[in-house]
Amino acid sequence: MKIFIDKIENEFKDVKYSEILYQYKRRLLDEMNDRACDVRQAGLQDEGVIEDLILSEYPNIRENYNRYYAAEKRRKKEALEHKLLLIGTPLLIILSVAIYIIQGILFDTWAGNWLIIVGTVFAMCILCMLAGIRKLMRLKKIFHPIARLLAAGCVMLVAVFVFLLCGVTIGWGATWPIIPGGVAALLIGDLLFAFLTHQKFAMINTFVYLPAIFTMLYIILAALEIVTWGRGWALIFLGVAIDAIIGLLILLNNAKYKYKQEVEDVWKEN
Amino acid sequence: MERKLNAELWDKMHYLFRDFNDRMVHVELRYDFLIDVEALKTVLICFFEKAPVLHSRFVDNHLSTHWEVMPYNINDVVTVSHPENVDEAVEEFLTQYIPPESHLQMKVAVFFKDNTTTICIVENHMCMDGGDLKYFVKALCQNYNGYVDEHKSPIALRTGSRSYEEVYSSFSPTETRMAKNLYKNVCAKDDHSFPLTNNSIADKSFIARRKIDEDRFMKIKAVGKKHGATINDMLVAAYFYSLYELAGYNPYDSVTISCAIDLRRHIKDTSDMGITNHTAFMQCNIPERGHDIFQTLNYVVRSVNKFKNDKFMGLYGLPLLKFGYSILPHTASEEVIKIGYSNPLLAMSNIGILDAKGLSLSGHEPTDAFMTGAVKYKPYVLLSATSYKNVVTLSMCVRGNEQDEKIVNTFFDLMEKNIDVLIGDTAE
Repeated sequence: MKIFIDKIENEFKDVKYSEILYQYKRRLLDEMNDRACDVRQAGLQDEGVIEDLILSEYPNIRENYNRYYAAEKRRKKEALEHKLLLIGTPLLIILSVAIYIIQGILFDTWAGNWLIIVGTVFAMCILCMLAGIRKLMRLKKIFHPIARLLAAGCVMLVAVFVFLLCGVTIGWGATWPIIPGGVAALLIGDLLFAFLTHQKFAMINTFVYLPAIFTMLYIILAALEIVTWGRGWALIFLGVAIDAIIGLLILLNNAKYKYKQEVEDVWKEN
Repeated sequence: MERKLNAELWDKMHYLFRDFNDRMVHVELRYDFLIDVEALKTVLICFFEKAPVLHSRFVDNHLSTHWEVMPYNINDVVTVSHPENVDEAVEEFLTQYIPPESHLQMKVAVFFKDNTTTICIVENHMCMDGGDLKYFVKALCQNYNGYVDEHKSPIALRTGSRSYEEVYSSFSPTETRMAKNLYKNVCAKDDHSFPLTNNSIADKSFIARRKIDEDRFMKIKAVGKKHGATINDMLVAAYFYSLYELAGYNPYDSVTISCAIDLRRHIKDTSDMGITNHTAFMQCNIPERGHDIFQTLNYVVRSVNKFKNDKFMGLYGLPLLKFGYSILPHTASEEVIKIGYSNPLLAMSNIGILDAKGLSLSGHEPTDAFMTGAVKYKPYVLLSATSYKNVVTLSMCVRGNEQDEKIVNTFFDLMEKNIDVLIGDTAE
């Protein structure tokens, strides 16, 4: 319909031509024409009313375009990233294997060099998981727990790499405290993720995670002989105490929002 | 492409009420001229497009619920006929039931007889309540006038969110948080019921009405003012007193009537809201009948004032319902809510004033206008009240038999008698 074309062109008369703009205008016009068909099928015959009705359904064309433009830009950027990941991952792994072999041949030292390959594989896995997290977080909340699991997976991979790196460089005997450290990092990471993304029940996670984090801290500090095994367990109670303090503060804060009902007695009468 | 709409909290609640009433809201407007049906159809199509929930079917897949927008033709919405007996045609049309799975949630009938037009509208309460239907009908008339008189496109209907959370939109952040913490089960627990006959499969829906004339209406207003009571309080007092008489309750029994309250009172600006439900109930409770109707009125005023002083009137229970519907799949949520929910046996809904000017078509004010709530299934009853040109219409929609109709009419006789006592026309 000409009036739809005029309206769309008029809205974008000061916007420089781009492929995205053309796509948007095309899509908008198709949508408007489809809607006009729908209302004609419903029995509306007055073309003037059809035009006004359809145009009234699109009050913020420019705002919608700005959103569409941003989304398209993001989509294109992500598509490029995915392509790079897809092509780059096997290439980087091959490159890391090549470096491992060349370095081994040149310096005749093979032990520990495998970390180059493991590190590259882990890094690529983390990049893939981060792309997955970004995608999942844009979906409905029901998909967010999967994103949290992926985030935990990222932290775990970093912790495993640190463990392997330390094992190779300073010896395996002294590296085991990294394992509880990894668990603590995983829990802290999940908590941060939950709060930053405003997940439901993040506070309940805090209550559960804090004693666990302090337990891991106790094991690490005791292993490093910073606290003794005999007395260090007080750290676990410290975690529980912090939980209790947080709970109390929440209760006090919530009390401010408690409304004193003036009709309480009426409910009771019932 | 399939279009889906959210099933809002109140949509789900009214769906839950399927065991208690037929969820239809009814409107009847009578004019002393012949309207332009094609213009009315044009306005209605525009309104249906502005409020797509009206041409959607309710989908309950047990896990969740939503509305699915469906194609339609306006001829399926509007029925035009020239009946011999308009009253019968109106009664037959208004007592129909639109299932939520239907592709249309509103039906309109236009009856022509001699030089008069009667417009009837039946609509699913899940889409909107009496408050918004009143707005819808007024907008329908105004858009019709604009279209017929000035050929203005009839697209002036509010659109926007249908969420129950709009009731918090005018609150400060602190007030919102307070209101959202009001987890309370506010159901009426009163076994006193309207003395109707037992259910039978032969029962059919009927709408019983009684008019309170202008003279008495003005007196109700004046006497109410003297007693610090509103018209609604006066009607509720007469409702209580008549019930004690009709059902023979013990005069020392405490009785509760649930009164509908429009939650839009909490919203300062409704212009960007879609048509929806914003109605809750308050429990108007009297400790005993009282030695005369004036004492009953005192009890009513006392009870109602307690609610009126409450900043969050009607908002109790909403967070609990929201929580109930959020944590479990839909079917399980319904079962959980049913445990805590008890439907009031006695209810009252004062739909309020129908504006004659606002409802005029092509300069003709309606000769009569009337609105009423859903047809209740026995033993539940709802007394609706609307006023038009200072004439109050009391109505009760019941699925029952002739005996029930007689009982309801006896109740209206008692209501009239007690109103007369209240306004001092007769001694008790």
